[in-house]
Amino acid sequence: MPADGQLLGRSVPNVDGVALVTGQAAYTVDLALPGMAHGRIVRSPHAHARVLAVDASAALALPGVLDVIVPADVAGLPNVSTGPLLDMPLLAKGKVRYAGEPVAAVIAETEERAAEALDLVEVAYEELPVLLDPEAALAPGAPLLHEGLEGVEGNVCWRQVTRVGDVDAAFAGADLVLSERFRTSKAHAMPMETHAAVASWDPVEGAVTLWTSTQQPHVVRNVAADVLGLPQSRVRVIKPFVGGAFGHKEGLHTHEAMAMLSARRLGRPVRFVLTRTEEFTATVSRNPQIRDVEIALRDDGTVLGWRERIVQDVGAYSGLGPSVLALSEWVAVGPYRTPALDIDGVCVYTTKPPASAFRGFGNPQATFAREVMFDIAARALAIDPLEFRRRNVIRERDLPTRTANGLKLDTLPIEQAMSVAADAIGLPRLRAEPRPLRGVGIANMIEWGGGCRWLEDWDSDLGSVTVTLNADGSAVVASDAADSGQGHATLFMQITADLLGVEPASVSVVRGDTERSPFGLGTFGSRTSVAQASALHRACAELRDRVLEVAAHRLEAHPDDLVIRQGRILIEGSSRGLDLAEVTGMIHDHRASLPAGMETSALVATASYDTPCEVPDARGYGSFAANYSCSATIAVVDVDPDSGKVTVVDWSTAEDAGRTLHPDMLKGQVQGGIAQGIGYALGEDLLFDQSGTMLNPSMVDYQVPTAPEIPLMEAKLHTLESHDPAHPLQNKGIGESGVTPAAAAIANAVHDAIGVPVTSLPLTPEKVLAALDRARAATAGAGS
Amino acid sequence: MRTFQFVAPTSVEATLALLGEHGPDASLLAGGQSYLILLRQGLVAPEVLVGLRGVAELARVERRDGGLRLGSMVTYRTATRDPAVAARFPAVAAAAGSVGSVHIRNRGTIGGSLCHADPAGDLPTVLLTLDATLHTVRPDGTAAGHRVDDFFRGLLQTRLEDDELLTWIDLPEQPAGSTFGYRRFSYRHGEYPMAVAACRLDWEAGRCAGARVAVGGGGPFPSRLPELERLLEGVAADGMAAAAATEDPYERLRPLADIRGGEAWKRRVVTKLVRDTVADAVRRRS
Amino acid sequence: MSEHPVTLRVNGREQARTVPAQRLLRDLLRDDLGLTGTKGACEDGMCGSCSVHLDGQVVKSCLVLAVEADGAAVTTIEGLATAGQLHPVQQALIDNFGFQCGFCTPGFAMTMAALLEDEPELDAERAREALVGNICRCTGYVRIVASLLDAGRRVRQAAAPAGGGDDAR
Repeated sequence: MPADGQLLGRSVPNVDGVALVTGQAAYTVDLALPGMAHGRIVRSPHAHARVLAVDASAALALPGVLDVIVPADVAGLPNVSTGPLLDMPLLAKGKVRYAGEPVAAVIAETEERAAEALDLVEVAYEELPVLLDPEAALAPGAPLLHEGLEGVEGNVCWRQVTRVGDVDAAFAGADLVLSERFRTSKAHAMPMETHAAVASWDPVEGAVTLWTSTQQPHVVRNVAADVLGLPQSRVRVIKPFVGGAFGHKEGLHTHEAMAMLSARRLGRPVRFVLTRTEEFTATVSRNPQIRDVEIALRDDGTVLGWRERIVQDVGAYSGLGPSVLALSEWVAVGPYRTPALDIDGVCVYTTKPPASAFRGFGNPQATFAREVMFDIAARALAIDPLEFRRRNVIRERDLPTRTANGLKLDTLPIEQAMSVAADAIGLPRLRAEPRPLRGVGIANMIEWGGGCRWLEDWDSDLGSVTVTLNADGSAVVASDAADSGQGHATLFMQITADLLGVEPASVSVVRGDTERSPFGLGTFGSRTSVAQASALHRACAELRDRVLEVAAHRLEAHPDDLVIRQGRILIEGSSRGLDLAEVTGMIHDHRASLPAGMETSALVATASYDTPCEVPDARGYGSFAANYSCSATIAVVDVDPDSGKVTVVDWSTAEDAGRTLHPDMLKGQVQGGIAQGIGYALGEDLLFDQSGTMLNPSMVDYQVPTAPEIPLMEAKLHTLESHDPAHPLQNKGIGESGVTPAAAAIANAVHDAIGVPVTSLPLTPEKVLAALDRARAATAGAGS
Repeated sequence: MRTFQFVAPTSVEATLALLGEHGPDASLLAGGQSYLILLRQGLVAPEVLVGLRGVAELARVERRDGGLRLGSMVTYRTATRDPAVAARFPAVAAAAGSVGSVHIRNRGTIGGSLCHADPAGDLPTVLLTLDATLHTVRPDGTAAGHRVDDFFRGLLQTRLEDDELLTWIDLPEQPAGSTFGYRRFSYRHGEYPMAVAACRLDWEAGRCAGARVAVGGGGPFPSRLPELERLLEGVAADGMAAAAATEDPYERLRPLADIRGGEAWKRRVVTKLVRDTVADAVRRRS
Repeated sequence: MSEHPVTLRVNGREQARTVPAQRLLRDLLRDDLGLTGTKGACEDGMCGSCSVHLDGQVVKSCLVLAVEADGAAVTTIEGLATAGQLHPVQQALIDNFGFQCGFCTPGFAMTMAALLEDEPELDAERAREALVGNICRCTGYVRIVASLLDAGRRVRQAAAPAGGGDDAR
């Protein structure tokens, strides 16, 4: 593919910029349709209870209340799930399993009236025992959340085993075996825009339109069609601007279904917007994991084997929990040569809001356990943590290679990343000039992206794009990708302008509309810059060939000698050429100008890209993702000796992005991920009282970082170019890279500062102070 | 949120008339930066809400001898920018500048802060060290000057009656050469403080002639630490740190345990904050 | 009894509405006046996405009742650009990629514009502190802070006595 790269690789202005900085960009909650009614969800106050009866009569009697949907109305509908276990009803079927679970929906003339009506829906509950601890959920005799579900044994809904290499020999032959338990927290994505949906019913067409804040318009469309009993051709899902998602807005949600059902029942548009409280109590969060680790080591620091037992708390419904567990095991090896892995994990139900996808998808948890264990091991062997890692990482000379569990690596500049990160933070000087209670922590990671496969039954990982070249040479790009701030429109504009030579300003990107975009799975797992971008590459190639065939005919040249650049088709090395618009015009309306036998036609190309991944086998061996990137991160923290409060004072990251398509947008993804990682490390956790009621469902009590807490790290963030040969644009998906190693780096820095490791997240001041007390006591006890 | 009637008087007289007319059905709205959250969460439900922003006479800063009279509706913004406040009561200016964010400081008021009585309120804690008098008036004409020490009674509770309007806060001239300290600890930047410590140290011939030490977040409401104050009195400047390091005055602190941490941990944090604040005031002597 | 007439000057235009006393200024702007650039993202006055200028000062419009703003002048994000030209903070946000999903961006832009009026000389440390009342979940704040500092430079350059002709943009 000649002549690309004029816009790709450059930080061109974000095409959505003006709309966003002027407040003109419309999000779902900004939409107002004539006659729009407002809905709210009635939610269970109990964490575990039988639902004996739901009486809507008092609510319906309230003036202004238009409709109430109760479980009986939807009893025949199948359960839904973003994952392999269809365990979640749209409205409670006889039982509620977390405080906040939807039980009914009220629709009224105004938002206020709908809120009032919530209290008037009378629900009779019979409370059942609450189960909050996943290990207690494993115990015999524990209350059961689900019964009669295929594949579910007790409260265990999934088991994942990864066993490769000779683990027993590794441990038998080790000079040192260490073990440790790690715990991670129930963090919440907390995107700034809450879930919102507006549905409208067209009685003439018998069709529904749903505007919704989603990552997966086509998936939502297909599941909604089932729920509504409509063909997919009569369901349209439109994605307006989305105010952040991070894995939090996948699949069909109850409020979306209720909006569509009530819009059809009422013949009026209906809007549901979740409050921030509902976001915390009733939408998905990161999967907390308990990881019991054993590491087999040689005296020189070589990691011989790695054993983990994982208990993952999926909450009341499994969602993507099984997938998170599987991928969490498959990246546990990190960017290292460890030859033997024995990882056995289970997903366990508890009576808490469901956990599912959140940026990193099991990798933050795996990286935390591994990198903190590595530091514990390094110190036990009196080896510098950076050196320990150098002795174990996959080396440049090893490439191409596969990890012990089969991750296929063509490029992985982890050695270089470590050097760059160490240089950037000034590691030698930090080591030479230590300060009391200031610590430096390192974390390496391997990250997957670009698409994935993990289950035999899920045999497609599609991204699709339709490109239309108009008669005047302008282009329309329509993709299943669902932007929530990543800048897809800009990326697609860059690709189209470079590959088709269209005027950049003439590229129009459709923002997510199942009626105008071809089917694909949407945006998640850092896939779009590889999956849909590769599909776009294919579609552009097809149109380029057609355009050049005609241009070659007109110029009496060979298509291979032609380039398209900024709207002009030229014979390479000469100034002889044609305007692209002239050629596209001919293709549309002047057969006589075309090669013999060619008809006039529209210029539309649709291409899909099914990412080339292997589903790992029963051992867990296989390259499940489209690409793997890596990074080295170094965090510098201060620990307050009197409160235990941890302040992040400096940060460096060297990030492998494959080929950089847009330097500033890439950095934005990494910086944003790091900030989420800092929050994950230092305070983000959803907490519950003994009755299963959430204690901190507000922005006051759920602590995400604010500006003063993030170091100004711009100068110390480096990207490494390593062109990935597997994909046409040679880049790697990196949306999750910032967050994955962050908590590990901070935990290691705290370990460095206080002398003892803290092995559970978050690193709250109280917890760190207690660890510091232990460290001081140990030092005092040791006599000096 | 239930509905209510909103009225916006433009004088103290008119305000008192409204309070007299509506009795306990009426509530006063100062800056609204705390009150609106209570309103939106249904924790308060007035029948009549009397907005005080239009009562200009309550928003004045008046110099009085070497002290100040601050109207109850003086905003944090005014308190940080008025040169008389910064010059005469730097702790007040510092505390007012630390509250929340610029948005909160533009609307929130000194009087509102006092009447809201957050257990770790910055302004209430600072004012406890300044011998402040809180002047009020009621519809029947009764005027009162409450000592700030007596003002806070319980969690989010003051001694004010339902119909008692806080008009101004008198800050008397502080002893010549006295130094101040003010620190706050928040679990996370930008949220309400978990603990606030403030002090005023009076000096004579190199010795502490009198100490006022106040803590917010050491219990259900901001309060002074009289035991510590007694321990500091008469101590030479270079002995103050040791005096403040005694365990006893802090033992009776009962911070409210919550999701941020337990009572014991919070007590440690508050204790250190107080000691550091005293040290700041000692350092400011030179 | 609880319906109150309010008159405000919003983005330079007189607007009169009748609202219940409990209507938040934010909701008057969004729902009654259709100015949806101002957002709402929390219930505790924490996030700052509702920031507007009220009589020249930046406030959180979810912490102001509409009735409190009777007679006042309000500027929303829709009124920040003037005469078809973006405000320096808006241009700086674009040039420095100071946004991703954009939901917090109007709130930040209004706050930043006000900060530059209060403290045109603010430095990086002060900029980080001053933005504490606005939450962003996408960017990690690095580029937002850079945008504020860049906007400060532009504002100072524009205010400087005429030197190089095309400094001010």
